[in-house]
This record gives sequence, structure tokens and C-alpha cells, in this order.
Amino acid sequence: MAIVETKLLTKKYNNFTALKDLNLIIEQGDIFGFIGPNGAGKTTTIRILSTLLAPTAGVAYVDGIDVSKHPYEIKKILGYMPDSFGVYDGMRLREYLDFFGAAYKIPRAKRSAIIDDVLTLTDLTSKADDFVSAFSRGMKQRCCLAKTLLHDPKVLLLDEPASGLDPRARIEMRELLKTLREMGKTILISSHILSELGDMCNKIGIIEHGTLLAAGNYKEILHSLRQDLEVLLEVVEGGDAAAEILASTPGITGVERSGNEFRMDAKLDRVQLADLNTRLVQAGVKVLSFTQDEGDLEDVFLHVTKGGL
Amino acid sequence: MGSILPSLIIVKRELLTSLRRTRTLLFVVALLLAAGSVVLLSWPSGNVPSTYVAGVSKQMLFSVSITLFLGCILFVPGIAAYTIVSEREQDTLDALYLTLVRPSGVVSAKVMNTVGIYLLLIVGTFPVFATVMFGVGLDWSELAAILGLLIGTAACCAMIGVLCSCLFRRTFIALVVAYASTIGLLCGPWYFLLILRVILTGQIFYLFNYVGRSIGRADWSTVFSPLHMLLGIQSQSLSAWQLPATLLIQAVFCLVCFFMSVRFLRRPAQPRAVSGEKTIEDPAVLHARRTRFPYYLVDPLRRKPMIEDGKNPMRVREVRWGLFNRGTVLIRIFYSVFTVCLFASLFLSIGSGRSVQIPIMTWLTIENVLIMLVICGLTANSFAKEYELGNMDMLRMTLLRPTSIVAGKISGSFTSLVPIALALAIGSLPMAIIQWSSAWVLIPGFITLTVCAALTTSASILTSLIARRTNAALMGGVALSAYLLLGNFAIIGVGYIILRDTWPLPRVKEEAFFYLSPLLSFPAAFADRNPHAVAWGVTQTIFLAIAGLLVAATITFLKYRRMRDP
Repeated sequence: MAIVETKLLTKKYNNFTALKDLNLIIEQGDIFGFIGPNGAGKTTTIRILSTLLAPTAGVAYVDGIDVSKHPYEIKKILGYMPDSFGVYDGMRLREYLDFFGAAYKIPRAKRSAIIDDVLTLTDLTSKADDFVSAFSRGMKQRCCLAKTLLHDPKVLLLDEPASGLDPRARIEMRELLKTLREMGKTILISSHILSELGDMCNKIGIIEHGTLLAAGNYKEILHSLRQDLEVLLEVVEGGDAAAEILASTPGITGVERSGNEFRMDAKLDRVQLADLNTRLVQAGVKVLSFTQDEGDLEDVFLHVTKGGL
Repeated sequence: MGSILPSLIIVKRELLTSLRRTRTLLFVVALLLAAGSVVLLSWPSGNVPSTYVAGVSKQMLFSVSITLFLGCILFVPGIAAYTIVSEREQDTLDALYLTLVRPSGVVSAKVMNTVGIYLLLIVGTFPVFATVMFGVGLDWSELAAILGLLIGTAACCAMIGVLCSCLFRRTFIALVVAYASTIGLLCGPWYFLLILRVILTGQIFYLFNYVGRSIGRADWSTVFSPLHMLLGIQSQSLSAWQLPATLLIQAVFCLVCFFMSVRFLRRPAQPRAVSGEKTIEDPAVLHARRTRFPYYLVDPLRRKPMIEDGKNPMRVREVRWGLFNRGTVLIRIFYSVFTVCLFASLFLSIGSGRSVQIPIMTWLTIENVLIMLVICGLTANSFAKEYELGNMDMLRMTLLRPTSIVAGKISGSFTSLVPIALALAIGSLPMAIIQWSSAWVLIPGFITLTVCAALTTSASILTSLIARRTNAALMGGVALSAYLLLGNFAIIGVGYIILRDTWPLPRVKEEAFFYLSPLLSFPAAFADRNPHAVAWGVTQTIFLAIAGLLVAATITFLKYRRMRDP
């Protein structure tokens, strides 16, 4: 069931088209990684979904509700963490969360327990009585996430949540998002750190110049993009024999040799690959590894996007 | 000497950026319109006797000069105060530090740029000056003296602004202090003495007569006041040494401010100190603290209760954190205002003979003007601060309705005024007790003050939401409030006086124009033995309704902006 859906979503700023006919579907429980170069339209999409920006054309639905027509209803079910945000001076963390809890109409009787819960979840319990303006960047990110989770939103829109964080804070943020995924939240997350998105997201969308280039499971996208499999072979002995066998095998092209390591493109199915491995061993080649390079999110990104401004 | 020369790369960048902005064009157009209107209104109709022609020309030149002078006071400190502090807020000052440009080069470039913009405004009004010069009786030395004085004043204003910009970390504080210092230093001690004399004699309506009479004197104190010197040039009553003395004083003042600015700019930025003290929940400890520090109204370490259901969180936040976190400052303000008010009311009560009605009104009108300035300072950053700190998006994402947000902001502004209003009320009590028969005039006075406060607050909050930047919000708030409080009176009233012979509408008594201003309707209504309470009441009601309309406009604008990226 689609919980976030956009149809021909377009946003223009005077003559500049920030978003062009975007059709996007995010299923309930998905962790959707939204990737693209700077200025691709990620933040514009997120701001339209979070009711902060009106689209020029097209519609966007969250949980079946039109975001342009019913912004108040959307805010009840949606949590948005912007890429840049501030904190109020002179407020302690608990007071800060109490203010936003009250602003989200959470009854006072429940508010205290909810604040304790989000503080525990974001590992900020020990900082509850500290002034938010004194927090480090990482703690401010957690603080903002705690605020975003206060009203228990079904959908979380996180715009660059790990930007500017040190490695430890980034790892902690990643763990936190995994916990949220286990809690059943639907998360749309935009980030430039592709390796982290690969670990966390079950689906990705790649956007460039306001146009969605690809969306879905990134391994499926990679398979659809690659005509050939990329195979890696490493041998201990019998490199020359291996080179002869590879050269004589139909379906193997573009063999690159570096000492005892081989990289090749293979138009073979899994059985044919297993047969090739057997032939190598029978020819006396001592095979150390024979693996398929599945590629990662960076490969997908580089394949799909063109770059340039 | 070379070290104080401006960095040309910064001048070029700043000027280019300024000239690309629409607001620079708007400044030029606004000043040109104002100066042009002044000349148009002053232009004599029909046959003017030849003996009066020179006087008319001088009057026009004087009016244009005053317009430019007011333009300088309004624009220059604001532009200058924003220069360095904005670099600090945008984190570009460190990048500037790392270049080979000296701090003195940065400061002089910023001053030069600000004065350059003002010169552009003056050049924009050259056609108006040219028109004035068609009249006879003027010579170039007068024009040169006026331009020299205006440029010197602009340099002083720019230096004050840049100094404040180097001193403070926040735009808002830099702007408020820059404007306050500009008014305080440029108007000089002479005006303070004059106003005190007028208050003590209870003759507010003769203020300009005092100015006129004082111009002829070669008084040493007048050289500190550029406005006074401008009036002197117009009346040709200055001694030969006075204008050079003023220009010399301005030059020395600029140099002192310059070296102080460079010194403060070099000072490394200290991170804002944030209290690391935790809240205290133990009642015994809290009680002990209360005994040790009895002046605490609210112990800052006492944990604040959670916001109750049904209460507007925005209002609670604005009042609780806006008021109590500034508790110390507000208590100081209370004692300062109380002291001034107490002395003034005692002077008025004892030194004015039997009736103190006129002095009370004079004092309340001055109070009104001061409170309006304070309100503009307090409320101009109410929304601008949310934008500048990056909190506005988070606020827009909550379930708070625009009405609640605006109501919260207004409550916060009014609550911040409580200490001042309280000090004024208590400080006025001796006056009411000593001169009981005239004390009733305090009641309409405080009602006028409340209406003017409502008007200024609503105007400042609207400009804060539209402008999004503190400096623009503050300048816009002051301009809109000034228009609402005095603008109609100034434009229609003065226009009527000038165009009396060709006035297209039915003739009215000149006193009626005072009722176009909520501020001036009070002294106009209650100066006579037979007060015009109804006319005053109608004026106050209309302006209260205008304040309501401004609040409605703010709410509508916030609703509109909910789905619009600023």
C-alpha cells in the first residue's frame, strides 16, 4: 500500500524548473533513500510533501491525503526534519520538547511520558536539563529528531540527517534510523552519503535536474542497468592457464589482468559460471576466489546520473 | 596612513551587491519622492512679491535639506549597523579575517560603502536641488555648506553604525543601539536641555519658537547638533566659526569611532556563554536559594511546569522564556524608567505652579514617543528572529494555527512592556497626589498610550513577518509606526497649511488635523479648559480598529506564507 505518492509533481521558480513531472510511490514501512546531486530537487520534493511549499502542478498524497488541500491533517501524521534548523535560546531540552509537544496538541498527561520515551530513543536522557543552544551539532540533530518523533508520525521526512556529523555521531544516527525502521515507520531520507543509504534503505530514488531517473530496489536497478555481470577471479598459481581458458570461453569479454587477478564481463548464467569455475580447477589453476561484483549504490548513482549543472 | 585606506575589493563587492538590491532603488525613489513633494508643496502659487522670493527659495532649500537629513538618520545607521554583524551571523567574517585585508581596511570599506549609498541618494535628489536653485536669493556657498554638513552627518551615522556592528554579535542589538546612539549623539546635549526647559515651563507648543530664538546665539553647545546647524544655515545666523567647528567635531568623532571599531573587530569572537547549571527539584534547596537571593522573582533553576492543555504554547513560550529569561534586564529597565518618571513627575508637580495639566500632557506625549521606540525594538525581531535562527519551518510544521502564533507573539511583546508601563504608572503617582485636580488627565493619557502601543506593536509584528530580516523589520516597523502615529497629520495637516488658498475640500479648523494622529489628539483634546473628549475618543477608536486590521493582516499573511517558501 502506497503511503506516499506523487503524480506529475512539478515546481517552478519563475523560469527555473526545480521539479518536473515527478511520479513517486513509497510503500508503507519502506526506508526510501532519495539521492541526487545538489540542486536536483530533493529538498523541494520533501518540502512539498511536508506542506511547506505549494507545487506548481501535480498532486502529492501522504496516507491518501492531498498535501495541498489538507495541510493540517498531514502535519498530524508527518514528521519533518529539515537539513538546517535552529534552536531556541534559553530553553532546556525538556522545555523545548514540551513546547513542541504542546504545539502538536499532545495532552499534558501523556506528554511527560512521551518526552521521556523520545529522549531514551535518541539517547539524550542525560541532557534533558541542559540548554539546547549549548549542544554540539550531533546532539542538535538528535534533539531535532526527538522533536520530530514527539507526535508519533507515520511518515518521517529526513533531509540530510547526517550532514555535518562526525563518524561516531553518523554511526549513532544510522543505528537510530534502523531502530525507527524496526518500529514500522516509513522513512524518506535524503543524503549524499551513498554507502550509508545502501545499508539502511530497501528502496532508492535517483533524481537529477528535477527528474526522477530511477526508483526501486537498488540491486534491481543495478541489474537492469548492467547488461553483463562483472566477475572477479583471483588465483594463487596458474595465471597463464586461467587467461587462456577465459579467452577461449564464449560469453567472456573485456578481460583485464593485474598479476594473478582478473576482472571480466560475463554474459553467462549462474550454471555456466559454475562450469567455468570447475574447468579452471580441472586445468590445475589454484583458485583463491571467484566472485561476482554486485556493485553498490555509488555504481548505480554514477550509471544513472549524468553530472554537470 | 595607508592602513586606514579602505579595501577596494570590499568596497567594490559591497557597492555592487547594494546596487543590485531592489531596496537601494526604493530608497532613492522614496527620498526623491519625499524631497520632490516638499518642493512641490512649497512652490509659491500666483504672484509672489519680489521681496519674498528669496525667502521662499530659502524655505524650499531648507525643506529639502531637512528631508535629506531625516533620510540620513533613518537609513544610514541601519545600513551601517548591519555590515559587520551580518558577516558574523553568516559566518563569513572568519573568511574575511583569513585574507590579507587589514581590519582597518574592512572598517573603512564598510563606512565608505554606507556613505557611498547615501551619496547616491543625494545625487538622486540633485534634480530637486536644481529646481530649488531656479529661485533667487541662494548662492552656491549655502548649498556647499548644506551638502558638507549632510555628508559629515552621514559619516558620523555610518561610523556609529559600524562601531555597533563590531561591538555586538546580534543584528538586532546592533541596530537598536546604533539608532539610539545616533539620536542621542547627533541631537546632542542642547536638545536635552531644551526639552527639559520646555517640560518645566509646560510650553510644548512653543518648542519651535525656542528653536528659532536659540539659533541666533553663537552658543558653543549648538555646534554639537547638525540639525541646529542646518537651521542656522537657513536663517544665516551662524557665526563664521560654527560650521567649521561642527565639521571638525564630526571628523574627530569619526576618527575615534574608527579606531574603536578596528579594535573591536580585531577582538576574537567569544562563544556565547551558556549556563551549565541543571534545574533543581529539591524544594529545600530551592527555599534556601530563595532566602539567599530574595530579589529573584522566579528562580532560574526552578523547573518550569509543563504547558497546560488548552493554553496557547506560543503565548506561554513568549511570556515564560521571553519575559523571565530577560528578568534581570527588565528589572533594571523598571528601576531606570521609574527613577526618570518619578523625578519628572515631581518636577512637573512642584515647579509648574497651580495647574499641571499641560505639563502632564507634555510628559505623557514624550512618554508615548519613547515607548513607541521601545516597542519597535522589542517586537521587530519577533518573526525575523524565527527566520534568522531557522526555527520558522519547524513552527510552520506544528499544529499551531496562525492566529495562535500571532496572538503568542503579541502577548510576548505586551508582557515585555509590563515593567515599563508599571514604572510609568507608579512614577506618575506623586504628580496625581500633589496636583489632584489635574490628575484626571492621566487617565486619557494612559488610554492614548495603550492605543499607540497596540498600533505600534501590530505594525512592527506585520513588518517583522514580511521583512524576515531584523534590520529591515526594525526600519520598516519604525517607518510604519511613525506614519501611523504622525504621518496623516504631517501630510494632510502640513499640506493644508501650505495649500490653504487652493485647498479642494471643505475648509476645516487647523486644530482638527491633530485628530488625524492618535498621539497628538491627546494634547489637542485636553489642552483647552473644555476638553474635546468625543473627538479624542473617536480618534482612539479608529486607530484601535486599524491596529486590529493590522493584526488580521498579519494572520492572513502567515496563512498565505504557510504554503509558500519565503
